[in-house]
This record gives sequence, C-alpha cells and structure tokens, in this order.
Amino acid sequence: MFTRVVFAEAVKSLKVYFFSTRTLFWALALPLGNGLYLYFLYLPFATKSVDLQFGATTYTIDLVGFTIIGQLLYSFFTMMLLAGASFDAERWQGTLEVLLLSPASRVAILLGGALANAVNYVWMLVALVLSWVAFIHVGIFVTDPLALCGSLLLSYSAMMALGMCLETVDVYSRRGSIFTAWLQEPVMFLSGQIFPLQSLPVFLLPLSYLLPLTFGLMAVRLTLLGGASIYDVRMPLATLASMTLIFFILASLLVNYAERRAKTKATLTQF
Amino acid sequence: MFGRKSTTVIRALDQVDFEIQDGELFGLLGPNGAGKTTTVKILCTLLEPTSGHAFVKGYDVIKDGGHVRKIVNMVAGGERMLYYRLTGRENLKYFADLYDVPKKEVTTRVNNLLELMGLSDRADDEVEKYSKGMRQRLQVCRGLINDPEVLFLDEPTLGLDVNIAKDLRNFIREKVVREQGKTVLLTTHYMYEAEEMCDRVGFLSKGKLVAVGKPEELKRELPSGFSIELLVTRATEETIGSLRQLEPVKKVIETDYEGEAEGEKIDRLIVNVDSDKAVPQVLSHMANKHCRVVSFNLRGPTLEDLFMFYTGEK
Amino acid sequence: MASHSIRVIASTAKVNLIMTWRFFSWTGFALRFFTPLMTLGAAWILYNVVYARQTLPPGFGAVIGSSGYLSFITVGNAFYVFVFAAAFVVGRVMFWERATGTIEATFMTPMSRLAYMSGIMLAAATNSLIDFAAVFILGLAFGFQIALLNAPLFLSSLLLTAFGLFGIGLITNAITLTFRDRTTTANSLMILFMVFCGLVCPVELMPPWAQLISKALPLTYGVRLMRASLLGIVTVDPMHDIAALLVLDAIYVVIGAITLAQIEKNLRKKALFSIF
Repeated sequence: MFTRVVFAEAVKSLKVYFFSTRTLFWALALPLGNGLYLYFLYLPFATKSVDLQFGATTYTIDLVGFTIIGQLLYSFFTMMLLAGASFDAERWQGTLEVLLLSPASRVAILLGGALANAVNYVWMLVALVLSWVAFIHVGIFVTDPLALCGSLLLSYSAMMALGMCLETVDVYSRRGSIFTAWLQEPVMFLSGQIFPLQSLPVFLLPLSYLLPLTFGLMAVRLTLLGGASIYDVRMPLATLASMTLIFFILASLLVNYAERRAKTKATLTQF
Repeated sequence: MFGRKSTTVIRALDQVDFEIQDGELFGLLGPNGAGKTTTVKILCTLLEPTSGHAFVKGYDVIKDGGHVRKIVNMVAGGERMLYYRLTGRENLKYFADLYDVPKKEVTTRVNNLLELMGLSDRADDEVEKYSKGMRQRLQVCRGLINDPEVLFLDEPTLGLDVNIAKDLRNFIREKVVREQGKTVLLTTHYMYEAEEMCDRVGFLSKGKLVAVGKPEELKRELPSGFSIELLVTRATEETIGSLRQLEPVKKVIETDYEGEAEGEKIDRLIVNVDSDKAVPQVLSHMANKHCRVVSFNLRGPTLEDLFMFYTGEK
Repeated sequence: MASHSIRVIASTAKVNLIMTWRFFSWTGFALRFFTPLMTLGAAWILYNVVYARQTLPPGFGAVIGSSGYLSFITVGNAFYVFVFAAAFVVGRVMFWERATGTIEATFMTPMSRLAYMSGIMLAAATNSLIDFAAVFILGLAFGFQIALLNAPLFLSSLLLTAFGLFGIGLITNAITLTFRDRTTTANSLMILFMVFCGLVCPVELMPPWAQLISKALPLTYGVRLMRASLLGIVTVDPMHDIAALLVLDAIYVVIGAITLAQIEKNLRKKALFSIF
C-alpha cells in the first residue's frame, strides 16, 4: 500500500504539476536566469575565479562554474519548495480534504510528490550541460567521478527530505506557501551560493550548517570544479546522508501533527 | 506532452429559440448537461454563441454587451462569485461600485438587502466565515445590488436547507417579480420548484428546446391526463411489458427508487392512463402477475411527468 | 463614464489593499522585501569581504562615478520591488480571480476592464512604495548615500517606470490566464528584469546581446534615471531615457490593453471563465 501510494502520488504530481511544458521551461530558465544574475553581480569586479576555503585547503574555482553549480542546486531547492506548493494548489482547488480523507499514508503522499521532482532534477542537469556549452571556457576538473555522483545524489536526497518537511507546513496552514517562499532568499544568502561560505559573518555560519544546500554546494563544487576526491568531501557527504535521514523522520512526525492541527482549527478548506 | 490533443465538438445548445416577456418568471428546466447554464451565461454576456443572436431588453448581448451588463445580474448556485476575504458588506459595496450604483444610494441599498436576507448581524464578518446558506443569501444580495431589470437565477437553491430554499423562492416570486416587476429567468432541475414559481417553462434536452409554454398548457399535451404512481415489488420486464399492452395505458415509465419492502426491492412505475377509471384494471393486472403493490397514488400530470415525457430521461 | 472608471479604480484598489493586508499583513511585506535585502547583503559581502574593498576596475569606476558601489546597488534594487507588483499582482489577477471563482461576477459588470486593472496596479504599487522606502532605509545601513536630489527627475522616473510595468503586467496577465500558469510567467519576468536591467551591474558593462535585451525593458531606463536623480550618475542624457521610456510605456500599455480586450473575448468564445 505504501509504495502504491508513493507511485500514484508521483504519477499524479508529474501529470498535474510537473510534466508540463511550462514546468520544464521553468526548470531550464530558472538556473540559467539566476546564473546570469550572479555572473553580472560579479562582473564589475572583473574576476574570473573564486577561492573556496575548505578545511586547510583553498580551492580556486572558475567563476562561471561556481555560479552555475550554485544555480543548479539552488534551483533544485526552489523546486522542492514548489513541491510544497502542490499542497497549496490542492487547497484552493478544494482537493486537500479529499486527499486527507483517504487512508493513504501521509508520508507516502509526501514522498511521491518529492520523487516527482526527480524529473526536474534530470532536466536541470540538462540545463547545466547547456550552460557548459554556452560558456565554453568553464574549467571542469573531475578526478573522482564516484565522488561527483555521490555528491549529486546525496544533495538530491537531503533536499528532497527537507522539501518533505516544508510540505507539511502547507498542510497545516494556507500561509504555508508564504513561509516556504520566505526561505528562498535567506537560503540563497546563507548557503554559499552567491559568495564563498568563508566570507559569511561568523555568527551566521551555524544557520548555514543547518541547510543541506550548504553541504551540497560544497561537495559538488569541489568534486566537479576542484578535483576533490571522495575522501576530501567525506564530511559534507556524511552530513548530507545524516540530513536525509533526519529530515525524513522529521517529515513523518510533522505531517501527522500538521494534519491534526489543521483539522482541529478547520483550516483545510481555507485558501 | 508535446502533441496536440484531438478535440471533440460538443453542441451545448442547438437552435434554441424562445422569448420571455417583461415581468415574467420563466423557468428553464432540464437535466444536467442540457444547456441551461450555457443559456444563462450567453444572456448575461459571459459566453458568446457560436452562431445566432440573443437579445436582452432589445439589446444584442454581443454588440451591446456593455449596456446589457448594466441591466442584468446573475445569481448562481454554489459558493463562488464572492470574495471570501472581504466581509459581506464590503462585497456588496464593491459590486455597487462596479455597477456604478448612485453613491448616495449605496449604503441604504446595501443595508436593506442585508436586512432582507437576514445577514445584518454578520455583515461585517468575512465571507469565509459564513455558512453555505449565508453565502447563498449574500449572493442574492449581490444579484440585486444594481437593481437589475432582468435577473438570472442559475439553480439558486442548490445545496440550501429546505426552509431557506422555500423562503428564497417566496422572496423571488412575491418580492422580486410580483412587487418589483422584474423579469426573471430561473434554471433548475427541481421540478417542484418550477411548478411553484414559474409563469412559463421551457424544457431543454441535450441542447435542444423541446417544449415551451405555461405548465398547465403543456400538461394538456401529455398523451394522457392522469398518472398512477405505483410502488411495487417483484415486477419483471415481462410484467411491465404486458402492462404497457393494456388498453387504457398510454405509457409506463420506470424511475429510480431506493427502498425495500420485506426484503424485496421496490420499483417505482409512473403509468399514464387516459382516465381515472383505469385504476382497478391496472391494479388487478399487477396482482395477476404476482406483483405486490406497496402503494399507489393517482394524480394529475406534473412537471416531472412532462419532463420525462419530453426528455425521455429519468 | 470617466467618473465610473475613476470609481472602479479607487474601489478596486481599496478592496485589494484590504484583502492583501487582511490576509498577508506583514508576512507579505517581508516576502517582497527579502530579494532586495539579500542582494544588498550579497553586494556588501562581495565588496567588503571577498574583494576587500579593492579599487574597482576603471571601467566600472567611470560608470558609477563617485557615489560608490553600494549606493549603486541600493537604487537598482529599490526599483525592483515594483516589478513584483507588475508580474505577480497585475500579471496574475485574472488567473487568481478565476481560481477563486469571482471572475464571472466581476466581469459580468459594466466596469471598464482597464480601470479595473489600473485599480489592481494602484493597490500593488502602493504596497510596493512601502517596500521601496524600506530598501532605501536598509541601504543606509549598508552604505547608501544620496549624492544629490533631483526631485522632478526622481518622481518622473518613478511614475513613468510604473506605467511601463503596468503595461507589461497586462500582457503577463493575458499569458498566465491563457496558459493557466500560476507562477512560471511571473517568475520568469522577475528574473528577466533582475538580470538585464542593470540592477547589480551597469548595462554598459554587459555583453552586447544582454544590452540589446535591456533596451526593451522600461526598468532599465527607470533605474538609470533614478541613479541620475539621486547619485548624479549620468551615463546617458536623461531626456533621452525619458523619451525612450515614454515610447516603451505607450507600446506596452497599448499592447496590454489590446491583449486584455482580446483575452476577455477569448474567454467568452471558448467558455473559459469557469475553467481554471
């Protein structure tokens, strides 16, 4: 029953929300657009590289690659927020009650919606390749393909699990979509997407370390552009794996709580 | 995802041609999907017909759409057409502005309508806090805010409590039509509602207007003047077929019925006969066929009979 | 007719402000505010930490004059808040009305549709003015300094840009309604303006293809005029920018008005008022 619900929800999400021309366009336009924005932000400084401090080592990363990777992963994070917005859409379409009327596992519903984002992730990788073609001087430096694959997969799983947590807010309240939209800019700022993490004021770093995007960016940039091995990025990979588990458990607890509260306060039909 | 979908053309209305007189309460009846809402939406300029013309008070709904919108309004069943985040009063004031109701009349008119519909106490609460019945009553207020010459009511009592629906029907018939002289087009699939309210009715079936006239005149067109409503058990197809062959019987219509008698399913039959003298013959036929007659009711033709006669639907 | 239109504008603006503040209140304000806040913060970090206040390249220095990098960024981002009004509010109003079921009741009335949309823009722009002021106040903390104040130029750039954005909002509204799109078009528009209007980098430093795109966007001229009126940065004759803005505004508003009429006609013909 659990896997059946996961599959059904994933198929529905793909058909209704994701597998449409405009969503695919957006999955392409978002990383390219934001990437250009970052590139222009750096342009006045006439620089072609960025120094990333990781432990005792300083990696010099190509600027274009730095911004594109940042946009790729950040755009996926935004897509995870949109997964939550599907509950918001259920709300104003009047189908949220019907969904929660069923005996289907709520975690399975969350997981199905999050898995549907896999389509967007694949499409975003296409965006990455296109960006590489457009900026032909990007210096890719991969010494350990396994490390790169692990970085991409664990970034995906950790952000997916976080996305499931955020979806529960949309169950609880019609203001859920505002809350998740709030997160976009702070996450952009704190995750090291725009500038190297070591430039962030020290008192903000604990907040950065709560975000899977921070570690995802670290791992993918270092393995794709800095030639890091799996041993070099063991810390961010281990953190991402732990975050996947923790956020998944948290989502399971939160969704039931959110549903009970929403039913107590009769907010399921408000939009 | 990228391919073009094939489209099937559905003819929502087909050669529909009728007139409504000033001050008349006209009922447009038909099952779901017959084209009632489509007709209403064309007349209040929310839809454009593919061909043909429609006029309201002499104004073409397409060419003179702006003028038509000033003199009509529509109340639909269901809970939409209101701003949920505004209060009842704010909704009405807003629509008063959109309809350019004279400013000095707005407050009085809003207050009067709210009082008329029993919403004065809740006028300053957001609509999302209203019950379904309250929202529907507020819709009626919205429908009257511009004092329209023509009012379209599209299943206005849908989902309302029995007593509220009855009050609404009385209000429309007595106040809106008789007292204020407005012209009303009502769509409904509750036959008793049309019977209670309408001066004339039209029957729509699959987009076609199959009959128009006063209910009493239309009833006279039924092949027979009486109907026997039978509730029976053990009625087989053979039994019903043989009933149809009886001489005084003009038509036998099987309708849906939920119920059992002593563990046996009850069937409801409407038997059109030409005279009330046919009753003993019909009853004894059923007894001879070993059917048990749970109840029978002899009545003159109703709109329901007309509806089934013209549309052939249950 | 004119008095009714003014009444519709005022009434529509009023109810939309009521609904926005009743539902969103301070949460909506914060939402709009975060993008410029983040950009200011990122710019500050890049300038002061990453590149440690190194002298800016001569090319950039010539473009921005003596006002400083952070003043340059602050003015650009302050204006960006109006893009939200156009893209997300005006650009999605009919979509949202249809989704919530009020579009038929509203469009059955004899109101001027353009007046109605103007009311929506007025409400959104009023909210944006609050964000606009907040960005400047925040900018002070990040190092923003007004070099001079040319009030007539400041006001005219504000009004003319808002007008052009309104036209773009009308066009966006037609797109979101036609394609039943909730956020993609509006978000794409936001990115387009964010990237190509010289908010974080002078247009003159961008590649030629990017400069070409920027020429078609009213915000490009608006931001340049605003920088001229507050920071004294004049890279193009302001009268030239005002003329370009007037032409663009006229084009966008006319196209927007035509698409508005066309989209309503389309909704009627294809019975799409109730399908969302």
